[in-house]
Amino acid sequence: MRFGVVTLVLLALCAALGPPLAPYDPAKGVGGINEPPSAAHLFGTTGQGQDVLSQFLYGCRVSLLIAFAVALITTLISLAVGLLAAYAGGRTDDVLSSLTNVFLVLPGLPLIVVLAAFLPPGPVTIVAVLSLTGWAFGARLFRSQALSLRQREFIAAARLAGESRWRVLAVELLPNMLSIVAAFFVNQVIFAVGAEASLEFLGLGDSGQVTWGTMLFWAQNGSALLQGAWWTFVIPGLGIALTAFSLALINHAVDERTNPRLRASDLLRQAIGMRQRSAVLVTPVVRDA
Amino acid sequence: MSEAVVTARGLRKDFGPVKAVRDVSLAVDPAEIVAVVGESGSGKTTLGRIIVGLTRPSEGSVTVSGRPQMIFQDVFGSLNPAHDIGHHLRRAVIRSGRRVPDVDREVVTLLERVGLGERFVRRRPHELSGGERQRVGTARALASAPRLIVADEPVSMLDMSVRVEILNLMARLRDDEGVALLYITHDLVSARYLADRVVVMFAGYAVESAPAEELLDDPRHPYTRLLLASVPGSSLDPAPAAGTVQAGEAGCPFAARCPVAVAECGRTMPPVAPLATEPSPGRWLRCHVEGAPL
Repeated sequence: MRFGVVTLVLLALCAALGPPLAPYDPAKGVGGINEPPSAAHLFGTTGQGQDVLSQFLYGCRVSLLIAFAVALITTLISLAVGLLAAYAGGRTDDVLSSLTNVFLVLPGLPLIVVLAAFLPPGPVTIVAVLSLTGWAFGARLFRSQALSLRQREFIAAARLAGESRWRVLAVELLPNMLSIVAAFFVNQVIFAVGAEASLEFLGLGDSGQVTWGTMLFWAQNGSALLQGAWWTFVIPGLGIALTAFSLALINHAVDERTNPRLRASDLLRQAIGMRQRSAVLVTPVVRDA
Repeated sequence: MSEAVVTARGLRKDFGPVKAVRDVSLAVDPAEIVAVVGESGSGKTTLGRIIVGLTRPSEGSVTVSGRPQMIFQDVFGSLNPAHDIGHHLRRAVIRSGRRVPDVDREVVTLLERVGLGERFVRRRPHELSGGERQRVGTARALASAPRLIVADEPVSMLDMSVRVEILNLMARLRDDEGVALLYITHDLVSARYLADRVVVMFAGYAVESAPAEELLDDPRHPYTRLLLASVPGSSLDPAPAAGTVQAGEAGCPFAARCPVAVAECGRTMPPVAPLATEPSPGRWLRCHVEGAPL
């Protein structure tokens, strides 16, 4: 958990403060071609002589913004569709579930590629395309969870008290789904970071914009691997991997906090002073002295 | 006798092919506790949910005075784990439509009425025992000053020691505040302890109704008698030979299990009728073989 949060905070700081801190203009050639890391260019230069550190810092902002925007939008769409389907039931549920199923069976990657190829390139297009194709699984998930919660008697009690439908959904039902919503959101950020980089790597983004994905695109374009200029693709790749890794750790920690089974085994380990994690749960035995 | 707090006429509720409630009519007077007893799946809970308006009947009508409330069976599921006790009661007071000058003060008063205190306001449901949760459920039901509360097996998930406390609390609500209760249970002993009148349900039908003492001392419907025989310590034979009558679609659903059924039982469901022998006020039965020895 700690490592995940620290890494994510560092990346967020890069995104927030990076551009002012960047030593060079990321779009301008400021050094030689494919210069390895040096004091003047800490992360080396690209095939066009641009500073990789400056590109990494600028790219961090755009890549993370796109990822979080996609995660936020898909989570909101999933919640709206899933909760409405579960709570309204009947024909509304039929229509929304069918729509969700249609989006679930659409082959995601080809659709993303086709849409991105037809729409004007840019971050907005990428956010729109990834949001359009990424919400269905969440809607399914939230619908199932809401259907199960809906049967609980506290929902019936709220209805009997005369609470409005929206209040029952937002105040009584939703707070009980927060852990699953948080887990989905984090997963969506991981998905979006990877998907955004993939689209741009394939040249379907705006190649004039500096993001981690376009850095990979230009590295591939300039045959960086053949040139031995590893810093041009390892650095943005590391950014993507670290983002996904830190979020996966956070996700796991959230699960540990909210899953009673995992929490209980954790408490038990602490109580008996066990440092190592064990696949087998132990039963504490109290011995008389 | 004053006007009934609830009058249900000809209620029917089908869930697909399942006939949960069939042709049930019922009235509860102010400050009266009516127990609805029957085995699992006999339609008791569905009847209760129809009466409070949580389930829409397929047929029939319900007239209630005021807004009836419900106390639920599942003490773990009836309080929202995401909110504290204060939230539950505050919302119930605010939505009750009553003019309450100080909602927080009213919440404490409600808690005190059910034997809890102010210290429970900030507690979360998981910090409470089963009995305390059921008291909170009762306080929530009381928030709108209802004239009728439907209590759906309110003590079935509680320890024996706590059951009596909750039953006494309900009896006090009737005695002190004139609240009428529809007490849904499969526990005949608690029905005798608490209720003024008992309605017995089987397979969606209300088959017998009588003042509690009378019904439990002198049951007339074969099903009621079998139900009483199944109470531990009863002198009646709990498993007499099953009947030989084939129950038809329009017949009495108990016919196939009834040791004293006659051919007519398999053909028609008898109408609600006062007792043929020793009729007494408020007592009725739906049986072709009233009081036949088992």
